[in-house]
Amino acid sequence: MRLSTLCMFTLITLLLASGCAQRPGIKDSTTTEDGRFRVTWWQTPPRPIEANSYFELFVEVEDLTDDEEPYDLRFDATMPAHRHGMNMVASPTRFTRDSWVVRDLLLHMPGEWVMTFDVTDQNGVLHRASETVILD
Amino acid sequence: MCMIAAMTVCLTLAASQTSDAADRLHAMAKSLSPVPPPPTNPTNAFALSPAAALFGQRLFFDPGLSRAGDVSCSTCHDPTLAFADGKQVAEGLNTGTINSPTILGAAHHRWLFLDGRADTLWSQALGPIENDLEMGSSRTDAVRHIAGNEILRAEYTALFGPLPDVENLDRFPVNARPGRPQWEAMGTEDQHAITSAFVNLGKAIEAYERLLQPGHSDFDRWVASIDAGTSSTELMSPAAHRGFGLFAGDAGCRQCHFGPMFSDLEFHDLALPPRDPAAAPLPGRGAGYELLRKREFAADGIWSAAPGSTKARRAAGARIGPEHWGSFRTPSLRNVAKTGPYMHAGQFETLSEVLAFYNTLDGQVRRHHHAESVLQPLNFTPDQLADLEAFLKALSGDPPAILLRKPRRSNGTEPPKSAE
Ligand code: HEC
Ligand code: HEC
Repeated sequence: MRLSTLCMFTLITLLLASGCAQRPGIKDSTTTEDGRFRVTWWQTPPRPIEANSYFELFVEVEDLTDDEEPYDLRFDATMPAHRHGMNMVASPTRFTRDSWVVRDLLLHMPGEWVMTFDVTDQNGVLHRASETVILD
Repeated sequence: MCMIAAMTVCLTLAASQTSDAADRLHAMAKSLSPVPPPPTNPTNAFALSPAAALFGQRLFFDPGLSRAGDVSCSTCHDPTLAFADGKQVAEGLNTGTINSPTILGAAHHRWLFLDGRADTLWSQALGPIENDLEMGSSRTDAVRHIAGNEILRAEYTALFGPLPDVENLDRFPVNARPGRPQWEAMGTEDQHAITSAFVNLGKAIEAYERLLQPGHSDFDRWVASIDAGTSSTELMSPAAHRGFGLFAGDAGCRQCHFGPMFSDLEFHDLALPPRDPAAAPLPGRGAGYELLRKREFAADGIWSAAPGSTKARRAAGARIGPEHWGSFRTPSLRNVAKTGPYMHAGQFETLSEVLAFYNTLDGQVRRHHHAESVLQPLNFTPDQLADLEAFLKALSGDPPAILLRKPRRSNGTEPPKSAE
């Protein structure tokens, strides 16, 4: 009994330590800094983002206060430690009222990237959500 | 019971940590080898044609494509020097400002030229023919050279159909290329016919270049042995093994030199000292991006076989930022022991000079405050630098000998149909 509990515990610790629990690109969610919108994103098809490999993001934006249709979404990603961004222009294409597809994304180096989702509301006010992903 | 269980777990953990480290290194090794076939290029319908590759190989070694008949692609991309030229900067009809890179593995690159001003190999190949620093000819004369040679004409027409009537010098004047009065004097249809044939030459050269894979190296043989379960350490010297550990670990090289080509295929500014301190600094990607925007032979242009392809769309989506000014594409490190001098302007003569630079970053010149900052001085010992160098030297391989020279008729391929 005790052995199997211990083994279970070890296994879970190892899994967590090796980062299997959460890989960037599967599905993630974050809210804009002011709490107005929830941004949920995943890679289509869902799989971890890899350094220097083109990918496509599906992004859903949910208005948590007014249930209003977001006006626009912009996406960008930078490597703050290296002081550079992506080498391609991200152009989100609207898919439905609340969702976008961003094709041909490329995070060309391993390391820490900050992805930003800028949601503009119907009054032209910008709400920023950001998420750090670490690629190895 | 409890004690035994705890000890087992501890031992398992300890063992799994060392084997974890080895596994990580092996996984990293496998992300660098073997070299897969180059990515497809739908913008060139002849990219995979063996007949086009044979014709392209003929063109590659043919000085007849230059103005005075004395410079061929192989002048600067010499097969005996791993398709580089051993010179600090290229010397064709005139002396250039850029070091001739190897073209082994060039088909893997996302952007061609060190500033990425071309997005396909076929469009790249058309540049040197009309560049006055290199071959100094014109597209009209290049097509005329094909028409005037029995073998070339036969191979061309079998692949691409009839050539324009370039013997008619009134319609197709000598030296006619865009920007010259001789070209402006030509009819639009004749211009179109010439450019169309010229593009075909580039597409054949690409078909040949795609076969120029970097070749199997000691490193590749070692990586293959991991999968075979032997992980033989005889395949690569102990120094190279230690060097690989540093390369993949503390040295941080794999931030930019990763994947089977040991390159992220993108652009960085190492703030290298200029070759000639008096000369104006080279803009690198800053200018390459502008040239890419204005290029005549774009992946999404009228000469492309697939202007709507993913490749074309991605090329059109390139972004330029202030950090790109003065940046150059990360070179492949495959065959690097054979391709000196190093860096875009041949700043360093030897690999140990390159590593001495990475070790201290001495001589770095920051040209603007938007520059990226990735490099940190390594502060390695001389022994560690020697290990890194041994690893770089384990990345050399040879492509098949049959690709290294002007093809002979009896190449195991169909003899060309005789000219009509
Ligand atoms: C005078 C020397 C010279 C000649 C002749 C020459 N090249 Fe080059 N080649 C260079 C130099 C220098 C560069 C790099 C230039 C740059 O990046 O601005 C280059 C770049 C290239 C590249 C891109 C490699 C890369 O990694 O991006 C390819 C491919 C290539 N040449 C093929 C050819 C072909 C095909 C021909 C003949 C049609 C040719 N070259 C003729 C010197 C030459
Ligand atoms: C920031 C990204 C980056 C890192 C990190 C980096 N390199 Fe480079 N490397 C480059 C770029 C870009 C060039 C070409 C620079 C130029 O010509 O302006 C280059 C050039 C080279 C060359 C010369 C190749 C040639 O054909 O001219 C060698 C060798 C090399 N690097 C080895 C290394 C080693 C070893 C490390 C680790 C100690 C390393 N690099 C770390 C980006 C990087």
